[in-house]
Amino acid sequence: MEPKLKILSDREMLDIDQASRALLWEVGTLAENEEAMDLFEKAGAKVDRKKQLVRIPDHVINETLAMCSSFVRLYDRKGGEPLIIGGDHVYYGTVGIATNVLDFETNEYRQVLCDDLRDIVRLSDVLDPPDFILVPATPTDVPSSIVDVIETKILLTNTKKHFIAEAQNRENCLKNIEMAVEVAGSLEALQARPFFSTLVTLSSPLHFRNDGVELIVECAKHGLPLFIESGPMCGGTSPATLASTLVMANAELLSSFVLAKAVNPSVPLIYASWARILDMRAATCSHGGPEFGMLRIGTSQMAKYYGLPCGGGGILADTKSIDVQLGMEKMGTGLLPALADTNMIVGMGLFADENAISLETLIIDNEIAGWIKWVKKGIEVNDRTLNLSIFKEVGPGGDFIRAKHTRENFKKEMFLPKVMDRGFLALDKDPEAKSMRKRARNYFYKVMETYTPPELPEDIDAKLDAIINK
Amino acid sequence: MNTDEYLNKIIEGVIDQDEAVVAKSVEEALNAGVDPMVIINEGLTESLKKVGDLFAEEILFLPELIGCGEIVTNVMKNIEAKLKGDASITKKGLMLIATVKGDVHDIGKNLVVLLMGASGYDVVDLGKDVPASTIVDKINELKPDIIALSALLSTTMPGQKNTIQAIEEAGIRKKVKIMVGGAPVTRAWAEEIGADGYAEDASTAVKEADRIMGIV
Repeated sequence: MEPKLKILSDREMLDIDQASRALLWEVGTLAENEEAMDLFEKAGAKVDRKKQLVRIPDHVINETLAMCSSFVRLYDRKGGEPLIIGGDHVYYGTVGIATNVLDFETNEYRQVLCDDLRDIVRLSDVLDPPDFILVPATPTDVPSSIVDVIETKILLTNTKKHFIAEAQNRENCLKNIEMAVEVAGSLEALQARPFFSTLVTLSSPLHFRNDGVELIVECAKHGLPLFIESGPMCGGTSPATLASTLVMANAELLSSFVLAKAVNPSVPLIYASWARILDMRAATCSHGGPEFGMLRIGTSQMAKYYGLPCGGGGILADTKSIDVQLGMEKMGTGLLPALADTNMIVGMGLFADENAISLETLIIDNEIAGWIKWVKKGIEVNDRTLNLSIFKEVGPGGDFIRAKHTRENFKKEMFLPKVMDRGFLALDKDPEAKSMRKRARNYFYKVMETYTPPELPEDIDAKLDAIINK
Repeated sequence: MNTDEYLNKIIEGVIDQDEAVVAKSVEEALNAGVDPMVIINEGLTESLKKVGDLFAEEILFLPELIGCGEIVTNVMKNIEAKLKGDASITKKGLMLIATVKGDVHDIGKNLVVLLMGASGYDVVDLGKDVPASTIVDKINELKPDIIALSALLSTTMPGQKNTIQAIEEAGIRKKVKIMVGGAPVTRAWAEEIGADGYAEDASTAVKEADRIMGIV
């Protein structure tokens, strides 16, 4: 049986659900966008145009949920079966809102360049996990008005995995789609096997801004998957209790689903959250403490309460060094959501409180995610694993290391680490000789030898540039 | 009680976040003839400097810093109301503050507004996502001493540079002091874009404002 983790009881989920619905009806959400207000009104919400306030009645939420799928199928460009986002499937992905990189050669921080994004996309392509790639770094050597479309181009040309793209407005969202269509061959081909999704970051508290609306509308019109994130900060953009923070995220996500489904009832939607706390000493949000893991379990349970595919931030760290703190934060915030069946956990490669990415960190995260996925396999108890014949063969006082049974079974039962160090300690050993960082760095060279770029037409760069520069 | 004793009671009251004690101590001090500006500068504003130090030492946390700031703001309002018409209350200066265009983060900025206001400045808060042209217009309208610009994303930081350029192009750069802040902002960036000052957080923003205004 797979291990399962809950932090909310059935009654608690009911309470959070009813509080969210009450919030959306009694308080409402700001929507500073005529198109959004029109759509909300069409869906049955009460709209105050002067205040730009939308109040959503309970039945509209029910009608929206009735149009939602429990599963979203995210394809790659390798031709196989898609990732099934929903149920108890758990996948890990990268994320890299950061513009700083911990340089692999110099071990110093510097700004992210397009080459760094390309490098981390390629590493993300060869490592497994990540199962999918959310933009893993933010280049600073291109104008910020087109950084999102440049990111999409780098993803299209360096990996075949499913990726989640960013867009800062309608125009760039449409360019992303156009570039993907160029690679897919046609919009129909892309819609049939969508190999990219679009990230929407909602504003807390309860505030639809133009960029969010434009992305939801365009992707919904095109029937392409939306990874919609709500990330309220407990004590900052949501009240200072974890339960209220869950209500805030839940209300925002439900209202965004109403908007998306009002455009297109069949748009694939993923309920995602970065609900976190505002650290009251550093005045920054924190992604490495127990609350981050707890809130992720909470938001995932709420998604499943409605039968929705879910995701969110996890396997993250606040530390600015690749150190013990990194290990504990990444493990804690990576393990908790996985045990709660969070379908898409995004965080690989990112640390320093969302401020930095690193190739070494990504490799270490791959090890951590692998460790966690092994736990999720559970302990198999069946004829293969519980056969008395091997006990009888070896007998009391015997050893199993030499048995054929051991050769046949050990790889199915034991996690084989790539960068964690084990072995006897000799007293003359240098404590730093086999540090995880060193091993990660050596592994980097080995694993990159297996990278092959996606096969694309020779003129693809020119074609994509033409779209970007329109 | 002598002046120092009154001031110490005020300072301790703020640190303990006890508004009643602070209000009472201020009233007693005023009645005893202590100069209102001494009460404000050496009692109230001084207490916030101490609170800022305690925050930096991680003894007090953000909500408490805010609580202290609000107590001082309320008590100062009462002093001003009481002494309405009495020209002895002077402000250190007028600050215009905004989060730059494209950026909607304002929690940090709001803290600066609170602490600056509680430390003897008049503050006009232009809000978030503010274009450079609006800031230029407001400078001409309100004639502030300091412009404070906040940006929380590396992608919106250029807004601080653009705003300074717009102020220069409008020919009014010499009329104001400009300071910048926000999580990705550094002193090096501040110097690069021609700002006069930089602060890492709300408490040090007050110190920095005093410094660039030439107030000891």
